[in-house]
This record gives sequence, C-alpha cells and structure tokens, in this order.
Amino acid sequence: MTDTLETAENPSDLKRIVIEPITRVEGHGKVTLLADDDNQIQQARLHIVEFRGFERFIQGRPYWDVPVVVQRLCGICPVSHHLAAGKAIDRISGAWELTTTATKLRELAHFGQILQSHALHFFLLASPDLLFGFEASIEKRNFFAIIDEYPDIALKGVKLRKYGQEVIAAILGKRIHGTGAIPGGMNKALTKSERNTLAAEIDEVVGWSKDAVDLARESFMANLPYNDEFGTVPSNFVSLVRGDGALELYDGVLRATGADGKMVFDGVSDQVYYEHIREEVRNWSYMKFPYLVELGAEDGWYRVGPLARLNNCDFIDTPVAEAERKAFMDYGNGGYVHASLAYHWARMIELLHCAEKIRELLDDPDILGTDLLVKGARQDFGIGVIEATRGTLIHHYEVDENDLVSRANLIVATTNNNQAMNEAIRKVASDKLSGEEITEPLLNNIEVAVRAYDPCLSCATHAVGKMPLEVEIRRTSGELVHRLTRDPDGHCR
Amino acid sequence: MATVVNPALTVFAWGNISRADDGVGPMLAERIQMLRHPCLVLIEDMQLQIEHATDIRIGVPVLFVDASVAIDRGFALQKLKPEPDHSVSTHALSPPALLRLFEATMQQPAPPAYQLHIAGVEFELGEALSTVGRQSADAAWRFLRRLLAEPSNAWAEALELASAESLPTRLA
Repeated sequence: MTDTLETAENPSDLKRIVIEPITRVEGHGKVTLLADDDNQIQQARLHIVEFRGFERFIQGRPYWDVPVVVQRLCGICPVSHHLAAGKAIDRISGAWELTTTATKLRELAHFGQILQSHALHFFLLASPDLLFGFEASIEKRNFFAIIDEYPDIALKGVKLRKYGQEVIAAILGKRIHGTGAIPGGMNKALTKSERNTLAAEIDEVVGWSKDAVDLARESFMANLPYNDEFGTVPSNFVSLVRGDGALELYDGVLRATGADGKMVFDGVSDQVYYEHIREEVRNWSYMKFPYLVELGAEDGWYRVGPLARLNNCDFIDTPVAEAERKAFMDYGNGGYVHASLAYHWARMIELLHCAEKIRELLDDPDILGTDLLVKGARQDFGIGVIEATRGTLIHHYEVDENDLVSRANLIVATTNNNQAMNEAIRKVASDKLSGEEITEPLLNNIEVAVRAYDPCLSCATHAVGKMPLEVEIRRTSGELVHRLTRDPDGHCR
Repeated sequence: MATVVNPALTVFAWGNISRADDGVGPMLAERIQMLRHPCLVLIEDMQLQIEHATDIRIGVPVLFVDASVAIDRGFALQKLKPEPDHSVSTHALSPPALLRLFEATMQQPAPPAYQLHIAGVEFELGEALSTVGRQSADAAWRFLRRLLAEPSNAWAEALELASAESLPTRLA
C-alpha cells in the first residue's frame, strides 16, 4: 500500500490548492493539494468534518431512544443509522433473535433505503461525470443537463428514489424520523393495502434497476483502460457476508480479504469487531483512519461499500443481480476488481439486488405477520453492524444502571473509506494534475475520484445562502497565486 | 397523511430538529399538521430531494418553509422562479431547482411558488433553538396561522400579496 503524497517534505516551500467544498457529494468536505513551482503535486489530502460531537450527543439518552435520535445524523441514510442502532439496542434488551416478520420488515426497509440512496447518488451526483466526461464544461456537469439531454434516464432516477422512499414510509411510518425499530423488534406491521401498493410498481422498478446496471457497465467499459486506472489503488476489502458467503446487507458475519483475494479473516461475529478493526488518529484530519489489526496500521487500511461487497461475496441470492455480478467479476479476470470507478457499476448491481429482494419480500406471506416483538435479559452493552449504503456501519453503545447511554462509538462507512479516498485522490493528483496548469475542469478529476466512493460528509444540516465553491492556490505565506470561483449559475471566473 | 382530493396549497417544510435553528421547518410542519386542513398537502423531510418534484401538483401553489441565513431576524416571503442554481452542485436541491426539475420532468409550467425564510443563526448539533430562531419561528407561525385561517381559495392571492410586500433587502 502507498502513503506517498500524504505529507510533503517541505510544505512551507509549496503552493497550496484548496477545493472547497467538494461538489456533488453528500455533505461538506475539502481537498488540499500542495504543489511546487512546476505544479508537481507533493501532497494531497481529503479533509472531512464528520459527525462532530454526535457520539457525545447520544450519551445520556435512554437507550431505547437511540434508533430515533441517530436518524438525525444524515438526511440521506437515516434508515441505515436507525437499523444499526436498532440492532445494537436489541442486544441491550436481550433480544438476540427477532421474529421472522420483524427481521423481514427491517430488511425490507433496508433494501428500500439502499435502493433510494444508490439511485440518488448515481443519477443526481455521478451521472453528469459518466455521461458528459470528467472535464466537460461546468454548465454540463449537473443533473439538469442530464434532464435536458437524457430525460428518460433522469426520470428513472427520480422514480427509483421515490419508490425507495415509499418502501421506507410503509415500514417505518414516514419517510424520515420513523420509529419502526424498537428494542426486540418492530412497532408496526405492514398492512395488506401497503404491501399491494408497493407490489404494483415493483416489476417496473426491477426493470429500471436493470437499465441502470446496463448504463453503469457500459459507461465504465466505454473508456478502457482509462477508467480502470483512474484513481485506482489496490486495497484490502471489508464487508459483512451471509454465513454461506452470499452478499448480505442487513445481518451477517465479517469478512476481510487482501488485495489478492486471500482471506484476512472470515466468519467473524460482528460482536467482536473491535478485536479486528482499530482506528488511528492523524494530526491533520478530524476523521480517524481504521485498519485491520491483523495487518497493522500501515498495510491494514481497507475499502468498504459496493465494490468491497461484490468482491468479497461468493454469490448474490437474486438471479438477475447474480448474473450481473458474474459479469462484473469476469471483468476482473478471476481476481478482484480494484478500479475506484467500478464502484458505480457495483453500486447499480446492488440497486438491482435490492429491487429483486423487495419483490421477493413483498411476495412473502411472512411480511404481513403481526408477531413483531421478543424480549430477553438486559445487558449493559450492544453492538449493531450493518452494511449501509456506503459500506460497513458500526454502532456500539454502553448503558448504565439507569438505562442511559454512557458511551457511544460509531464507525461509519465514510470513515472506513477514509484512507482509500485519500489514496484515490493522490493517484489522480499524481497521474492527472502533476505538471499541468491547474484548471477547474482538471480539478474535477479529484472530485470524481472522491465521488466514486459516495462519501457522506455529515449532510444533516443546511442553510440557505451557503455552499460557495472556490478553488484557491496560495503560497504558504498567504500570497494568492490563483483563484477560481464557481458562480451559482455555474460559470467560473 | 390522508390523500388530499382538492389541494389548494402544497407546503414543504424541512430541516433537522437536532441542529438548532435548522429545526424550525419541521417544528412549523408539526403545527401545520395539527390544523388538519383538508385542502393542504404537507411534505416534511430533512432535505429537498429530486423525488419531491413528484409531490408538486400542476396549478397548485407551493410554499417552502425553511430556516435561512439570508435574513437576520424574523421571516420573509419570497416569490420563486424555477431555475437551476448553485444547489445543482450539492446533494440536496434548493426550492428554485426543485421547481425547475418539476418543469423538466412534467413538461408543465411550475405553479406559483414562495419561500418562507425564517431567520436562523445557530446550526450546531444538539443545540436548542436560538433566541433569534425561536422568535423568528413564532413570527412566521403567526403569519401562517393567519394565512391558513382564510378560505383556501384565497391562499394563492394572499401569498402573492404578502411576497410583494415583505421582501427584505438582503433577499431582493
């Protein structure tokens, strides 16, 4: 693994380039580049302020309140946090195995969540890069240009997103801040009417999802070997898998593999994740750097999310997505697929899988059951791990004798991908920017690399009037070398 | 929410109740919901997203309710035009961008639309509403309550008049 370009030898002699905020990602982040007078990039870093103080915000609350509160972490994936916290408080309440219906309802909500979130990322955020090119004019690099030139594609994105939200609302009561998961199960059954409403559209949703896979695959294959090399750094991979090795998004065992596909560990209970995953602090980043204990901090960084899950699993248990997985793995010629841009392709295969699973669950009589709760002997800690949209999500809580949370630790997917995203931008900076005159379209290459990972940069707040985009190149003395400003109308000056 | 057969107004209220003044949208949504007005469609969410374009109805006025740093205190009502603005480079849409998306996907002109800006100054996690945020939200609620107490067929004209009268300089 490489850590070149993480820290320059003589930063005071270099000019500083800042991209802030990174556009078309969820939340706010920035990239800093240090370049010498010949524009050779000497340092590249991705900076994220994520979930600042949220763990402290959770402490002191009753544990049964946590699945509701954590939804406010994120406007895009509240259900992922809701369910990860739900699994953790199940364990605190002593409920180690939920009823069949409760489990399937949670899975259904989870598939709806991943479907809508993957659709949002691919169609709204990523598709302009994929359809118009990374260095297309800035007027084109947005969703409205997609609407103008590819209205059918844009409309499918809107409808997929809406359908996923409807699934969530049916299971959790509302699109946001639902209260479905409670200690030991669920608090609401799915009615026959709700099931039928969702079932009426699902075949069309599966069809749109298949179209999305085709689009992602074709856009990747259309520009080889460029897309294969863009921001690509071989890595380890971590994900949950089902006990039999199938792709698993809600509940499974941990599997970690090396860049060559060899197992680092497999079949590890999520309840002992901390024996295998640790986090390193670096003085230049607010976000920690997780690594595999077995490989150490230097070599143990890994990737999570769609690319990791598809590489790690042995098969997908839905037929159309499985056929697409095989085509994906065939591209790797028997080895793992490491291309950062292949995340988009893998993401759409997962979207298709979720659509198929939703259809399967809506056709399952268990989904209309009303046996929703189990109880057990309370314990003073709980760990919940799920595969959230962007990757492995870990919620870990301890509670005191008054049922109040005394300690909380959240390792979110974007944190798990921290080193990987930094490696990706360093590769792009080295391959595409070094020695070149820095222009806004060129800098979009850096953003494209970050975007492939679909990071969620604490997107739960917003304020009208904010979100400028400026790129500044300064000497460390503060002298301004060059400034690019992207106006609200998309023009640069 | 039950299906509204003859809607006279669609209200979008959004924000995060765990982030201080960002929560004024959901707070007002809760109050609007309690009115149970039969001609009002209420959409509450954390952010405006692409699928909300499908919640806008042809010819039915839209009111967007959100915290805002575009004004210092109180509230302001601004008439909106559909346009792709800076929000196209972010993960969530602005009201003008959502209206533009509606027009593009529905191939219909967007209905009259207004944004109720409610002044906010604190947006940090875990904070309560600031004094400015609370007072501004209360003032905005008094305006909304008066508006919604009118016959529903008068709402469109009332919004048009109010938006013309009360636009603070910083928003103009």
